[in-house]
Amino acid sequence: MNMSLNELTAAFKRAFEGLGFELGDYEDAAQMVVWLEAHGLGGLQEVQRGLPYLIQKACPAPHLSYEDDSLAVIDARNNSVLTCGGQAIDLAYAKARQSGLGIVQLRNSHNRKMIIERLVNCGRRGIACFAYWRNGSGPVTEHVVSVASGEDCPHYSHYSVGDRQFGDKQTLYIVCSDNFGLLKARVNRELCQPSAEGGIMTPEQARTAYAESLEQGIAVNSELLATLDGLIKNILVESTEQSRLGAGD
Amino acid sequence: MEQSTDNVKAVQKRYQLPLRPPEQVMDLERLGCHHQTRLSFMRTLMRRVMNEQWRIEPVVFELNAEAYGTVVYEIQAPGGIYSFVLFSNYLDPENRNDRVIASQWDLTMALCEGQVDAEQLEQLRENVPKQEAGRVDSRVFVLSRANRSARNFESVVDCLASGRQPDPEQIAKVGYLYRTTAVYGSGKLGMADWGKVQRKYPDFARPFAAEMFTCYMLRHFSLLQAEHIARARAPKTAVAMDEGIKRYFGIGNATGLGMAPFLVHHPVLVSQWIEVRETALAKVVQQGAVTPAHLSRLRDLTARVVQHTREITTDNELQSHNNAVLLEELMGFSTWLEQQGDSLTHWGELQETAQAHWGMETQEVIITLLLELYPELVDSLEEQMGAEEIHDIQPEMSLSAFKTLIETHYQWALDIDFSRQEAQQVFWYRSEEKLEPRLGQCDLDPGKDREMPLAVGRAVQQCYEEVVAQLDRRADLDIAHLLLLAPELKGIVRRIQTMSQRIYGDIQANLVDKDVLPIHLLRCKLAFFGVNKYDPRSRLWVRNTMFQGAPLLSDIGKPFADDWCFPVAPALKEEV
Repeated sequence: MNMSLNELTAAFKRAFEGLGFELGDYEDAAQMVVWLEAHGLGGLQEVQRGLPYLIQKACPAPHLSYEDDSLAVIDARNNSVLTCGGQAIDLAYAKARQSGLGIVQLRNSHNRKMIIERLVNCGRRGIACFAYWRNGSGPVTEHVVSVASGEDCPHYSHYSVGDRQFGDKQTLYIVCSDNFGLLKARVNRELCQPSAEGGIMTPEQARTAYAESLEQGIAVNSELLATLDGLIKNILVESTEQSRLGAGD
Repeated sequence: MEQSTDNVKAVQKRYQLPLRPPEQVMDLERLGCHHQTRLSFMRTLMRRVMNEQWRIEPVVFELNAEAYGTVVYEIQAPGGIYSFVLFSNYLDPENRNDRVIASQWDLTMALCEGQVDAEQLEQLRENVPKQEAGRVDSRVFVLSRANRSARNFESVVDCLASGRQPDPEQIAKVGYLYRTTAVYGSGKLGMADWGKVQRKYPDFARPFAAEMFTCYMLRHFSLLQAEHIARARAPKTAVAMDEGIKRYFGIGNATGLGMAPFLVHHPVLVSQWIEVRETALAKVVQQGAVTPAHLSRLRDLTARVVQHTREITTDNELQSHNNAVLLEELMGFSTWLEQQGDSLTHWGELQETAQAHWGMETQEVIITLLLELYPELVDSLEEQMGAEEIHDIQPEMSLSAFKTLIETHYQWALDIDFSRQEAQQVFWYRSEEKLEPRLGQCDLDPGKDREMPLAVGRAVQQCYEEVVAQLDRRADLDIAHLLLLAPELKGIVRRIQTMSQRIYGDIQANLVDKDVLPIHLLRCKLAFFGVNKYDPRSRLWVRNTMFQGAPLLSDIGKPFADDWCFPVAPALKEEV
């Protein structure tokens, strides 16, 4: 079934609310998913993979374990980026505004690709940002996202870095600054050299994908819809004759 | 002459306009006293249709003698071609239901991009009559339905069939042949996103323009259908409806709680509408020359409002009382105008007098009339009614600055005494029936655990308490760190930071108070749509009339006075 971006966002908002997300979080989470899908970055596939985990497991709240003027380390305690990614971005953004550079390591987090919409949000508000993370083992894939200040779409690439072992599984690195050149130089020092080709999405490609999504809507499979409908039921109240009076007779 | 794309803020800054303060303007009861103005969406739509001379012609007209069947109108506007598709089906009167939870209707319709071919028409025929139970695709951008006002409709058809015109006194009581009960757009049910409408259909790139146009076409069909049936029943004696009487018919509307959450979920947009309206008022007060011609027109308009108000029929005691007070005060206003004579030189004097001597409803009527007097000052603001609903957190803001922000912009929320049971006696929730918003009583109804977060005032107060507590522990905290400690505050923090940057901010009301009147919310939005003749059926829903007095399709291409506010019953022409 094809759904408009607005309709899909509303459905995800209600579903995440039904999952127990707080006001603010369910709005952001819905935006993150739909934005990713609308820009050709597989948001629905990501969320469909993550939903069973979100439904089954309630994790303890993230914990700020280290902080100085420009660096912070947050232990996400296995929470999804859908709920804690915004906090991490806000912290990096605040540090960038206050001291010129903000770096946040979000450890033990899941669905890290979902951070992309929050990064674009940052860029829209005048702060350049990078994020990177590594997935898998044998081979490991490195994902890199960058958004220049004022841009509405990211540059996203992913590539294999072979069998190298890293001690930062499930860590998301976020770097914000008001100086894009400095930021890029800094982040490039942290990244591996790609040993095999991966994928690239340029801002122009993301915009083209978005225009297509706006024109046609987004195809949503019935399995995902059924899952969302099931979650939405958690926020609905049974209808009775008495409750019908609650809308006026 | 103002440039047609004047930015509201640029206008305010250039002229240093004295805007009314938020605590006055955003009071819920005052918002519930709004009337339509020149900037209402129906008015701006009609100006566009008439001035640009849109061509609107039927291309499919398959109606049987009882006017059941299909019609398709093709609309040629400067920015593109569109199709209005309508299905008229028999509905057993037993099944006629105005609630959003209904599943059958007399008429169902869709507004589509481009021309509709046979294949698409079949898809629409399959799905449009089902409304929420069907699916359409992104070539459709409005979906709606309407039910017949059965008694009125039959009476009108009988008149026409027997060679008589409908009685304007009867139309004054029920000024429509059909009532619409929902008008969907903005990407619901598979339709095109608002973003697509904005980018691709410039003719409808203003808030609710497409929805209003759909209702306008429905009004046209309702009149055509009555004439069609009369002719079929009595071909020898039936007459066409007099055009003056046709213009006096509008479309009925029944609006309930379904509309209320919109005003809470779209505070930036609603605040923009109000800011534009207040800017228009300030421009008129500051720059509108008080001339004999303007005074004469004001007297004429006031007389029209008096007549219009006398013709309103409502069983609602409160509305009847308010209308009676309005009439009395408008008579007082007329007397005051006469007494001023040539000594009235500035509209500010009128505003001061209105605030000192007359009630809110009268004050807001006078605002509508003042705006009517100066199209050259007001109309250029119509392009400023849009706003993107973007809410941003400023994580770098210090907590002490945030505390000051709340105290400056949300003192109304801090002043609410939530320790009183009455202050939190009701809650808003979504029913499993079509997700319809409903109001529950905390001590009676289940569902409090699934409450919709519409109690902005309470959320602000709770946030403030947390902020004060955190500041006691650490004076140097910022918002980013507050949200790490209390992530549940994200929504309200973002709202406070966003709305504090608007001139008018949030609606200032406790929406979970025992005595809250949701119809004030409904009426505020309906006034921006441009409706008339409010008839509250309870504190939760209100009937009203759309497009009453508006030009007809047959008026396109003729001189257009753009003066159809507060319509009054036409005099019945003598029958030959």
